[in-house]
Amino acid sequence: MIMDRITVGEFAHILIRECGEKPGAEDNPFAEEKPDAKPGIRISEGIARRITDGYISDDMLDKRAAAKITHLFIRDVFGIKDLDNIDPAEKLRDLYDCRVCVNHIAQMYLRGIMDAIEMKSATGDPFYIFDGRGTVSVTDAQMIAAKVKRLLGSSQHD
Amino acid sequence: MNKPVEIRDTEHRFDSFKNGEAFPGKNGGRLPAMGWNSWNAFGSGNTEALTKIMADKIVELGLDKLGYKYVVLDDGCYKPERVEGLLSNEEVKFPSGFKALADYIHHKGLKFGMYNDIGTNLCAGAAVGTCGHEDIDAKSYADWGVDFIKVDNCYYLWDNATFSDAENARYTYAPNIKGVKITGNGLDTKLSAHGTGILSGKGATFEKITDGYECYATGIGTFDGTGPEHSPVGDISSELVFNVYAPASGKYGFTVEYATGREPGCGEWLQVAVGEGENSKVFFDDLLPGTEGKEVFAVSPEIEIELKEGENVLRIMNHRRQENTLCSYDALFKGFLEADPDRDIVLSICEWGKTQPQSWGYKVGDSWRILNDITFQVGSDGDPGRGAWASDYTTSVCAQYNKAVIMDEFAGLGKGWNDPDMLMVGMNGLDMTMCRTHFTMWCMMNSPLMLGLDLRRVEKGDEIYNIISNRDLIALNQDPLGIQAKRIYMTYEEREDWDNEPEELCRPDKAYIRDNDRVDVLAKPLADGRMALSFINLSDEKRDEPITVDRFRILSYLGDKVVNPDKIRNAHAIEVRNLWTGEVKRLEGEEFSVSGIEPHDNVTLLVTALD
Repeated sequence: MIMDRITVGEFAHILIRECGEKPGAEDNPFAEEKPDAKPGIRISEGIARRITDGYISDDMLDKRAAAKITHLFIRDVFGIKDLDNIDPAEKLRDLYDCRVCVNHIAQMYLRGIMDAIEMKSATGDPFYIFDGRGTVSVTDAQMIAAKVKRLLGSSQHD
Repeated sequence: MNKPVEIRDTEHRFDSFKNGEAFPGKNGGRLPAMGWNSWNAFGSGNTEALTKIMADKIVELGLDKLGYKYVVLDDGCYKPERVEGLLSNEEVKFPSGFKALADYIHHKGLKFGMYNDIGTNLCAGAAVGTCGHEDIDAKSYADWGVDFIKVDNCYYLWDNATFSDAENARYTYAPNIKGVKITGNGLDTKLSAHGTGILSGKGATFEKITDGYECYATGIGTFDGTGPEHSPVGDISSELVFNVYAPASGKYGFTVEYATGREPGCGEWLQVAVGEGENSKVFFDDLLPGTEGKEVFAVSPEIEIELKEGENVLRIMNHRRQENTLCSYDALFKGFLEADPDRDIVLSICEWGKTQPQSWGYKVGDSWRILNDITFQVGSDGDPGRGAWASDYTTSVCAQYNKAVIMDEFAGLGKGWNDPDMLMVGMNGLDMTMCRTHFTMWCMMNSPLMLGLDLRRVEKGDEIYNIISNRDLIALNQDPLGIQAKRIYMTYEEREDWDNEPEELCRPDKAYIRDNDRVDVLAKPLADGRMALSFINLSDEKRDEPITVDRFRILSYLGDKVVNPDKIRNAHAIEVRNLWTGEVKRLEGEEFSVSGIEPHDNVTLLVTALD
């Protein structure tokens, strides 16, 4: 089966489209310096650039990249503070496989935005992995965006 | 590149690691680097504007006068791809370019540092690693005026490092070995691994074939030091060794019965050597053809070896994990020498202790990380990030300290420094007592002192400032004798289950202890003949009982590292000054005793022998 996979850049724009930009269009700190472009375009391109930091926009998205992009989106664009205690994420056996993604993965997992995969050991005992190299489909991306939207909605009511 | 570099010399070989000879061109006279690094403060969100503010603050706070010179851009400053083969600045975050930023920092009397990686990509993802570009990148750095380079290990092609292909373990472990055959000069002998072979070092084992009777050797290689599980002291790799009697000096045919895998413990790369130490000779150093499985054995193509008449030590091994990584860092090191031989660039090796760099890092580097990161919860603009005092993994002060504190024999002037990662002073999660002790530990252990906080949160005279600007502690770190403190006592010795390790590892300066319910005493000799003593309570409880060491214990552990041991041994009285409180005491007896140490606190004393 061919997966409906998406790129890093497409994922960033799904997040922005589904969840919106931070209010304050004219003085938005993420606005790109493109005088000819409309403010909305300038902002969304600026945000996309910020949250895809370090990635090539046309690269195919994997789970660890999705975790980083989503984390930067809610933290840097919407100012949602990180959860202090990420120890419960240590139940993910592969948490430390990706040293620069640990916090991104832990934050997204513990907030329920991205899910773990249940595995079975040789003795039949269950354990969990995040599977950072795993693929993300368009459907997965839309589900992530929906959960982010819900988080942002609830945080506005806090 | 489809294979690790061919090693034609002996200087990059495992058997030369103990010769103490750094590679030509290395400046061996540097003390631990001091400065500020962007990672713990801002992660990959650092910018030119923030960096300039940090440089301004270093000068405003007078930290430069205390030795904090290097301002280092960590990951997140490059474009995601090379531009016409060259590294270039991410234009939104660093709009003026690196040369302009270096000029700004140099103009302030500071030094400029940058970051890269020996793999194909940086850890944060940008496809601009130095692998295969070492010479051109070294030229770029020299042109930009870089004084310091931190070099990471992600996406490395020849190891199963972070983001690397997990199957790269094929390069770092030897195949499973069932036996060997040697023919020639009237000799025709088949030797089984289990029975005739000897597993030397640590890590390899004999396993029985599933549903069979025969055994094979597995795990021949260097074990991974990224996590906190293993001690850095003692054997860090293993070999399968045969003692072979040759009837005559000459050439012999040699084959191994082997099975390959691509996972930790069982790889595809085989090294065959005869002899030990620097007089050894390597006869094979390459991949073997893959087999159907790691218990499906095949016979290798014949390898020609040379034996001398009589007893020979024949070694089946794979030290490529260390050798490949050394070669990669050396390529960059040589690139810098070629780009500008007069430029004094600090090389900070950051392969996270994976390949046990304490045994080879001194050849090219100024310091080497000893573990994975000290925190994964780095800050961002407006968020100081979070550190921890203790943890099961590497992400805490104690986890890094517990490993570094027994690594003193690897460090020194002419060698380099163990690097337990950047300071977390000022991050959330650590109170000021923890920060004070964290800073003390790093100073006593001659670790690089790289601040990792947003310096806008510091004002002269505040608690953080008073920690990072403690001149007495910094003087210990920068003492010209360059001796890392040695742990000479720990309360853990009093436990009933102590001494269950081999005798040589059952000493306070060698034992790898991860239980933090203890007090340690560290001793550090200084260039002027004095000493520093630090009593460190790692535990969560106040320690009311007196912790006591005497002069004999101190001198017996420090040995000839003390500049004038007789002066301390024979002194009629000793003056001790507490380097955190300033309190001075005169001691008449032989003992140094401290009691009532608060949880996570330390008492650090400057010891002066009185005539």
